[in-house]
Amino acid sequence: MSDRKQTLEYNPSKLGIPGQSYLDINPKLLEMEAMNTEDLLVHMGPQHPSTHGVLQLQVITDGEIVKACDPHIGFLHRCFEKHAEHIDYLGVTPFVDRLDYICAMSNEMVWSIACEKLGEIEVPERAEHIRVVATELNRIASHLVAFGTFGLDAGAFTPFMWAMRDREYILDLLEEMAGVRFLYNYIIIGGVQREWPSGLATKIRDFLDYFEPRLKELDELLTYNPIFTRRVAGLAQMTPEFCFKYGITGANLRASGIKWDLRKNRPYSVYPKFDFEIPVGEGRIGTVGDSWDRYWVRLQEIRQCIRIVRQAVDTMPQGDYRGKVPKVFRPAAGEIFFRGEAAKGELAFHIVSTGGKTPYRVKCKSPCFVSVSALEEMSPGLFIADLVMALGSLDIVLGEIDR
Amino acid sequence: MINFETLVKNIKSSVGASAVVREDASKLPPIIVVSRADFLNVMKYLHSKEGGDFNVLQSMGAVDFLPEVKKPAPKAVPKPASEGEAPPPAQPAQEEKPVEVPGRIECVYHLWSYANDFDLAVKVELPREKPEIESVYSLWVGANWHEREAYDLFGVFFSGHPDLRRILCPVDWEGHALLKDYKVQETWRGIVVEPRSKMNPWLRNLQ
Repeated sequence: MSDRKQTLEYNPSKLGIPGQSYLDINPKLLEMEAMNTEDLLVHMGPQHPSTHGVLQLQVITDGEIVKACDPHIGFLHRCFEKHAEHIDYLGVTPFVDRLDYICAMSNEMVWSIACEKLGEIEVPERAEHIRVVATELNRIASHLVAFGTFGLDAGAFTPFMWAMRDREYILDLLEEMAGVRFLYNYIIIGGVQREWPSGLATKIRDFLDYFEPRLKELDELLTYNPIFTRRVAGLAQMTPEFCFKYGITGANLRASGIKWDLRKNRPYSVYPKFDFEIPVGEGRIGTVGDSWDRYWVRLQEIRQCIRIVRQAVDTMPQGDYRGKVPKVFRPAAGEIFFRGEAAKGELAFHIVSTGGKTPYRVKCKSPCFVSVSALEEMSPGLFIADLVMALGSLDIVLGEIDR
Repeated sequence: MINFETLVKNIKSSVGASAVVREDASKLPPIIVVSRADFLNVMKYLHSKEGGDFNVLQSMGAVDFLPEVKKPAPKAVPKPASEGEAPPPAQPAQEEKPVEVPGRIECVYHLWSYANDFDLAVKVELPREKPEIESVYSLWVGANWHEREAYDLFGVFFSGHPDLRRILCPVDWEGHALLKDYKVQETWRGIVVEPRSKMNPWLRNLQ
């Protein structure tokens, strides 16, 4: 789409019908001295339905065209890193849930594996399978939210409601597993909190059988819908060099054409046992790495998650749900930087331990933090409505950005 | 693939023998502690193709260590002599002075080379009273927000950074929150920061 980057000069003959001013106003008035225009600083303030949370975008606009955009974060800063210095490793798990509150299981997974690597804890295989099922189900739920809210930003209400309906089934399954719908505190150091109730495996299989055809419906609603593609295709293209410059990972990087997924390239837990593919942006509509590709890659990832869950549930061994963990978890002095594939990208924890009950320092590198930092460079030349779509395509969660 | 030992050797030969203060290959990822003076040259070398092509700065954080006094190891208590055995010979008294370790702030850079698929952690130790370091914004643009966060929470000043402002705390917040000796301010713009009504009830009764 060659007309994506709009010209910033005001020239009525270039817009609208040639020979006719696009403004319904006496052209002489526009030449008057009083009619001076200037750039406007607009706060797309922290309370806004389209900023996906409490994010403030200070936008300098020339009419409807964005000249510069400065994201302001920190409205949801809850001092997670300071809290983690005073709470023991196991007790940090509920705090870690609340980072990416849409996909809490993947945060817990990364935290637990980082602590296990630091403290050299063995996890039994059944626990690993349970963890993978929980994480992948939650990843499907998170991608459904991303899909629904992206459509909502464009003005489509139906895909959002259909995605939420299917997400409710997943939350019911996770409630059976963990007792909680959103912030689970289920995947802990050494394994999981409790054993599955009987019959859950059958319920998961039934849900997957019900859900796979639904994906086709969601596809038909939005993916190739011309109203949607005209808004989104070719928008805010991110080349691989752009992504590496900022450290952007996850589905955003895969949409740019780079086949990189930590579950395949740096496998952890029992992911090597399962057979799944990594969808990569192809630029079917528009260019490779545009917003449509980021949206499309997330939809394809849902299909791969379904494959992983099926295999994990079918091959689940019997055994313990938690390994041997000392009553007071005291890892040896040292540090670790562990990266895991969360729903929004690569979540990483840098844990410094001095041998005590509580971590000495925890630094959380969140994938959405780096995505929003790239918004400043992506935004000049877009319409404000395009800025909203570009932000939605990055799939951010403010809990993770602010911690 | 990169070999860690070769990488350290190359850094030492191209930047200087004193550039790498310590290295630790046993951690995940391997760590290089770089001297403050050679920091920017080492980062430029690592960013270049011959140096390992570390094109991604994944994360940049800081760790605060207060000055501490390392007490000497306690003298071993001699075993009581059992009957019939000669008592052990008297040990000469050894005075060990406590060692004062100055405080420091460590900046940790986690680099990733996509082409060579290698993770690396680079650390620099900065004095706690005046933590200043060059910004790596010119090498990795993503360092912008990471350095703003380190400035906000630790007070590290990054020279050469285009726009060093607080990012998480409000712009007129006092103090740097993640330092170990941080005391939160009483009021901010007239609002009481830690009102007694919101205090943890267990702690409230103790005060």
